Amino acid sequence: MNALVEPIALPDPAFPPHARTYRYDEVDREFLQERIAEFSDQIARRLGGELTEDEFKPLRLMNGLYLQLHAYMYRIAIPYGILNATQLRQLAMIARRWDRGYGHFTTRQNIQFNWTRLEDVPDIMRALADVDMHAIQTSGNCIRNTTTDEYAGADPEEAADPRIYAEIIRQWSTLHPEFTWLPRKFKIAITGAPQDRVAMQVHDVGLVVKRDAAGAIGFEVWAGGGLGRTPVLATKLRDWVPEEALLAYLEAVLRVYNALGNRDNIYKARIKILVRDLGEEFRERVEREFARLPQPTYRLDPEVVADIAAHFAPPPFARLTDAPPAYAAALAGDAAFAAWAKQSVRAHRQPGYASVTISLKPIGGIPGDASAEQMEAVAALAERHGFGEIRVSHVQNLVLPHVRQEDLPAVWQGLREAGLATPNIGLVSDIIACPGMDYCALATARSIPVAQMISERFADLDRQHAIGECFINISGCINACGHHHIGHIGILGVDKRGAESYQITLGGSATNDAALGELVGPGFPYDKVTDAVETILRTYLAERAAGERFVDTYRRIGLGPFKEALYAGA
Amino acid sequence: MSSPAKAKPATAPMVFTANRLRDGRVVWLAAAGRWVEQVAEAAVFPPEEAAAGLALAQQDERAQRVVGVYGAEVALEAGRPVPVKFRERLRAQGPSVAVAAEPREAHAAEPREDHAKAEPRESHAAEPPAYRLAS
Repeated sequence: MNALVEPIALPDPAFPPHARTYRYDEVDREFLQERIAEFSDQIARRLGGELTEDEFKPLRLMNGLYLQLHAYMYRIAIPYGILNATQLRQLAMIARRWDRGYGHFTTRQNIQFNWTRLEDVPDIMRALADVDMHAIQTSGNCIRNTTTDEYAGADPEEAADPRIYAEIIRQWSTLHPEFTWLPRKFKIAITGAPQDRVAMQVHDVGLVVKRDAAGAIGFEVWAGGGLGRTPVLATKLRDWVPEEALLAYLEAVLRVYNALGNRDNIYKARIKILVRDLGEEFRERVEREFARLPQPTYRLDPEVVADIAAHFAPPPFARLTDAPPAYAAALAGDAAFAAWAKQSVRAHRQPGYASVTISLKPIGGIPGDASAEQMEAVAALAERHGFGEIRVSHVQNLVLPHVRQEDLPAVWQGLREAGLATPNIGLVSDIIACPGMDYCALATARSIPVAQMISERFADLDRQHAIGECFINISGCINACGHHHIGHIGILGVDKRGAESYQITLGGSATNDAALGELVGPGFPYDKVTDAVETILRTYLAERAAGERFVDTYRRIGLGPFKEALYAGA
Repeated sequence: MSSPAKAKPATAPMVFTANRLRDGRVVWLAAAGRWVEQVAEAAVFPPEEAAAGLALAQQDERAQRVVGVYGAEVALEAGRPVPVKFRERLRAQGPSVAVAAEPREAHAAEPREDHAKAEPRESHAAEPPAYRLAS
């Protein structure tokens, strides 16, 4: 640490000690205790034989509890992907005490435990509530956990902090009486940065926080995106909704969906089908509903926004300068550190600070998994070097958003000791994968071992750098929890006459140039899919023009050369 | 969990599987109406007796002891049933990726502590997780 640094004076002497992450008030805590008592009673009645599974299932799903292939799975909400060190330690404790010592971070920035016992759930709920956590809105046909940019509040290009509005949406949507039993689940993503890191266009609603020329805040609103068996990119509904009208406009979108969404066919129940089928009429209906709503009732009061914004005030940054000597020396003197920093360290809005992305994709590991010991290691590093903050990214990695650049060598060392310093962020082994048939009752094929095989095939870091940015996304069934449609290389596992078969799509993208991948051809058996990926990447390297990423080359040359290379001998 | 309840008439030997209510673990119907964790110990019903086996298994579903009963075709290998379909083989064997063993059974009897106030570990020099090494 630099002893000469002087803290910046806090802008407000009443700066709350709990700033930077939203903390529950007594109303939140009371509600949580009521919910714990209610669901504990329901579990007791289920275990006692008073409730059948048909009666219990909708109740457990409203509380994040699934029954999967091998056991119950408990999905715990991490609102907009933000944790503090105490919460992460508590998750580690839960993993160790009531599960098998690890957890799985998901593409909705949540965590799930794969081996939960029904009889343990009341204890787990109480342990979660001790740190203001729960499992509400992680399942069921309600508004799910809103996701946001893992670099929120740290990104130098951010127009406004999306966490404030994610929290407002959380408060508005939790137990919203009108939207608790929607036709189907409803997912909202929000970003405040010019670069979309939240896959905004494949959400039921995508929001972009913007500022106008006068600095006022408003929202670009998109709706009707989604993946699954019918992948659709979202339609822009509005270029600008003023801040004070955010909830009114969301209310209007949800009302139209709630009224007209298909409740007869689960495969046609998501808002994407309604938006697609109604076309311009969907927007007109939303606008009519918006105009009809009593605006004062739904007005987002600037004082409320300011109050919530105070929870996300910047941490007490020190006055520093970029590229301090300790960091520069480590970059120059340690190739391994430099390789990690190149992929994992990101520019920060505050001079002298950086954001660190922690790879949960060790070579041959399970994407998104972290052991209890690793969670504790990250919590300790966050406390020591990052104001106690941790973020979960939708690509199943963790982030320390605010780290002094001079501390980066120490952070790297700590991550190395915990097995968390794989320098592969954004590279071909930074794979999104759903749990697949190894855990999921819905899956038709395995995902995790495919990710492991690909990761091991491309373990060589020089080779990964030669390939450059390339996102491989793997799903174990058509529900697309592994976001295969928007991977540069997407892999979908299906059951083909009793055997696992993997269909490959190319050219998908989850960012500003969002695109759905195109199917390259017939599927590949389990033991050939890694070879197929290798063929695709060799073809790309042979065809690549200077400066191109995989997806750039694909867009320039199309499917043809890849198809030819993959099926030439067929 | 979805259970293929609308089973076609059996054409192969069958076993019956479910998840145990209290902990969700996979179980298999064995002799004398017991539920066991090892498919090798499961009772095998010839095709003509599959309906009777399913009815027996569903009794325990109605009694709220197990959840999601369904039948799975098996082949007999060295006299032991082995599920024919990959999904049921995974159910029988557990995930194909390495996973740590069950925590000790005594955990449920331990008193609850004030977990949130647990002291942080002095060192974060964690070993790689055991479940990654077990493959």
